[in-house]
Amino acid sequence: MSKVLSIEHVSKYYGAYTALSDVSLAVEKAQIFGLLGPNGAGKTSLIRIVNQITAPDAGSVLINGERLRPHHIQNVGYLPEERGLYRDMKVGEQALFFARLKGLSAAEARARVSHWFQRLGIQGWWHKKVQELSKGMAQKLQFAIAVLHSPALLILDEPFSGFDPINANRIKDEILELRDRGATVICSTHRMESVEAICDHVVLINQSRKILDGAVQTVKNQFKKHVYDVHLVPFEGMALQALTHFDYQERKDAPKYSGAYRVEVALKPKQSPNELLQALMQIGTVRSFEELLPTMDEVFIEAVKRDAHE
Amino acid sequence: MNKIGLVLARDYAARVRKRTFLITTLAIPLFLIGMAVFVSFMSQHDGADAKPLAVYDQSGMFQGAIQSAGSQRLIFLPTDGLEAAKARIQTGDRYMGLLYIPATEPFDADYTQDHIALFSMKPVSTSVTHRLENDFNNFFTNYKLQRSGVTQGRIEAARTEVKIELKNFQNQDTRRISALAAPISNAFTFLMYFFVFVYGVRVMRSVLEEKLSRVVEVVISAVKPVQLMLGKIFASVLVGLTQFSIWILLIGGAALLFGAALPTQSAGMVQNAWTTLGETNVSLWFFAFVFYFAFGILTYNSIFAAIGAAVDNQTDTQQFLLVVSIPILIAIYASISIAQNPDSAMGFWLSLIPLTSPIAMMARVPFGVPPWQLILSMALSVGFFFFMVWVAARIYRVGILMYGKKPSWKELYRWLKY
Repeated sequence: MSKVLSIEHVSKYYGAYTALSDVSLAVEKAQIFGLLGPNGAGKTSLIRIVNQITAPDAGSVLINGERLRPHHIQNVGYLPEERGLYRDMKVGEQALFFARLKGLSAAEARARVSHWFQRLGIQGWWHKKVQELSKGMAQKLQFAIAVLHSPALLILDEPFSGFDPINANRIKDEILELRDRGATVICSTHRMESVEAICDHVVLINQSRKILDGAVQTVKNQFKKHVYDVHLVPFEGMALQALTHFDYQERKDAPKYSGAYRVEVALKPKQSPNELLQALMQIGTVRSFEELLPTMDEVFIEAVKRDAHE
Repeated sequence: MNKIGLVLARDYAARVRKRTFLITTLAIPLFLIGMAVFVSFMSQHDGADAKPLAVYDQSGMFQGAIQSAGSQRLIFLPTDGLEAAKARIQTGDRYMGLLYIPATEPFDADYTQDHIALFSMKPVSTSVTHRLENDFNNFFTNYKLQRSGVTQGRIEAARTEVKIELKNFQNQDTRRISALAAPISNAFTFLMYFFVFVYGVRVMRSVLEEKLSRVVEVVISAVKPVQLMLGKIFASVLVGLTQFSIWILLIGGAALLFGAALPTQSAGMVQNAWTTLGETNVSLWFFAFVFYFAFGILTYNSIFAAIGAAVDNQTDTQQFLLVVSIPILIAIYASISIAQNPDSAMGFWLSLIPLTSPIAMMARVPFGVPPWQLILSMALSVGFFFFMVWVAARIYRVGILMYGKKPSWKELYRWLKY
């Protein structure tokens, strides 16, 4: 796969404060790339550099293998976390203004704005002023502004904030469709459930440094604790106590019914899942057996904790 | 350049569509007309409602002779004791003071003229004392001439009032031009102040709003900060020119509509003013006005835009506004004396310094300025504008993304080197 964006050893300083320290990452074409990190980690600084709002103090940024140049901005769409719209401007005029700023001709801008307004169901707002819109409505407009020039690279900072579940889902579908049509999406968010739902790859930045980089499944595997969720119906006269070699505990959230167990078993070093499965089969009928992978929430917290201890 | 145009068009449309634009466009001419009527009314009635001056004329010779002391009313008291009269004036609040004219028996003009006194609780204005002194001088001159045997008729016949004809080498009446130049100079001063300061503050607020609403982050991901800033300040100049053009049209329209309805005397005055205007270098005045209007707004707006970008709330703008106001205030106050003496050293220097020249030079232009001074002043204005845009753009591009703290002057200086 070709790299759409490469960040190579980028550092950024504001006086004595280090916002980014030697950060490198690569974003593949048609990938949804999660840019994660606690508040103040340096995500926004990185986004501003890619958007050419600021320049790095060290390192380089490449777009499709070329050094970042002003003309690249025509191929970047940006949805900022804190929404930026002119409050006293009409919705339609505002979208046209930003489309023209991104290099579209007047006719093309009008056609694209109409297309996206219809697609997002906001055609009727054309003559409304932004100050009359709710937060969710303004968010939809901002999303339309970010995508209407069909950017090859789309940077979304907290794209789901302010949306109700129905509209959040709609935006999620739009993002997935943009990806399927070849757009590359960088998604910066704190909402880990949305990371799991849409991201192919994640990078975690903490205290200006990159501390984690990989495909979502790979990252989860890195942080897994070898815990298995088992649903077991013991044979007559057999009990869980037969699992003496394993570290297990009954799941409190499992529904209780006579004769069945739901347990979480954590493997000790040198124990294998097959060994556990064989032991389980000795004492009962295994209804289900599944390895528990950490959620992205847990990965995030664990990675930041480990980084703090290093 | 196209992006500057897009920003300019958006800002221009946003400004002229605001209700405040319509209100100020209509209200300011009305306010100015109201002010002119008020000032003219007040000057006609100047002193009429002031307290009268009591006169204790021991000689009894001055009633009638000093009645013409300007518009200051004089009330002659009975001469029944000076001390009692003084006490009455001090205890009551009816008179502004007591004018005492002593007398000897027989009347000795030399003694009396040296012993006239004006008693008052508060200092009396110099204009009142000058007018009184003038009246007394006329009286004593007449009195002494008559005593020497000159008849009143001869005195009147000898009274002369010379009025020097003021002309330029083109034989034009410069007295009429001067009389017209003073109010035009004042009008230019006011307009320059209004456009430079009020429009500058508007640009500052607009930049600050863009910063606070974070819309600037979206905009400068598509345009360079300097393009955004230039688009905004060019839009400000265009809005100013639009407003000024509307005023010209309104004045022209009003002249056409109501010109015929003016009383003959007023119509004559307007006609005279119009004729005099035709004798002046109106095209140069107009060119100078548009030039200083544009470069004044451009230069000050770039400073105001930098201030708006550097801070993140209205309160923090105050310390910077104060400093920017100083050259404007100096130019405003100086323009009052420049209108009296256009070629003074102060007028010369302030009309060359770019931060004061838009106001100071426009106060001088109606009286005529040597071409080399005008050209030098304009060249300095253009050069300073480019320098100021460079400075402002550097502050703007750093400040626009800085939140949470008020920058010091030292920090602003550091931003120039980023």
